[in-house]
Amino acid sequence: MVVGVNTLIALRLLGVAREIPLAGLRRLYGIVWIGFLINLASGLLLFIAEAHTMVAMVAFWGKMMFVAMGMVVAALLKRQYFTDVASVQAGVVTRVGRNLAIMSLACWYLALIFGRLTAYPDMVSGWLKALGRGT
Amino acid sequence: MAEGYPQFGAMQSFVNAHEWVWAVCQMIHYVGVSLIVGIVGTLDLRILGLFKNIPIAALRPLVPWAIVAFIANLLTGIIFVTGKSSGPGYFFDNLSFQLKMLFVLLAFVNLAIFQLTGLEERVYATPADGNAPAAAKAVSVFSLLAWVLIIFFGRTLQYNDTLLLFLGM
Repeated sequence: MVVGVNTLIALRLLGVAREIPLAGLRRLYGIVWIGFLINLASGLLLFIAEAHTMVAMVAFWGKMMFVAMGMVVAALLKRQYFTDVASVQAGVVTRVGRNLAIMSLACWYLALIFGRLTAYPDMVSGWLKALGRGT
Repeated sequence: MAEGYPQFGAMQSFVNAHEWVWAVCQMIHYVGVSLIVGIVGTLDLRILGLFKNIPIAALRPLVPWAIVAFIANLLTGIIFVTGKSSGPGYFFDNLSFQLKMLFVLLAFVNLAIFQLTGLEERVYATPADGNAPAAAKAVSVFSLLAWVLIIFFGRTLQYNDTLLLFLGM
């Protein structure tokens, strides 16, 4: 609900499915919020269950950072771009809109990838050690 | 445990030898399901009457993205089944996996009904702000349900014992 819908909005802003009226996208943020609250609630429960292992994990903090950035970008998109009524009505995607769309895609997919990496802490710490050795 | 199922030795040793293969395939699988449900789910909700300011036909160009994502998930899924070190029986004998595949199949039967009965063309012909045919709404409700259950049973795969316990089996 969060990643899929944000992807849809970003794709439209980047030129895919141009027939979708830009003004229509704004209402999709309702789904993003519902999805985010579900994930926040279930995520908190998962975190409480395994807080001691999670706080020690680089991948977990990476994920949290990108989730937070993703939500900030989503809020900015809604506020900075979708309130630009003239552009939205005229069907113009401003540079701000395009840049935020690219950032949104980057944040959400990085959050997803880091989230998956939390299941492989040994692999991640192996990579970090290899990096530290400069190999 | 894997008795009776074909084994895929080459794939198993490849996946075993490279820890990143499984992790990367899982990432692709997750990205894929986000795209599928983000696109199919939005289309379903629009057919059900939400966001009427988006014409249904305008969402159509997004469908190929969902198809590409499905193919990616099919391929990564095949890697999981063939590459699991304990053999494909891990999946085939797993109730969560069986139910997940059942709902994937039902989602496709649902899609076939949508396309073969001409509902698809009628839905895309819905005027902006208009209502989709009632039959299409039924298909959309089933589609949403199927995808939620596909994700649910995909997730419980790993916790199948808990699911069995919960079901009293």
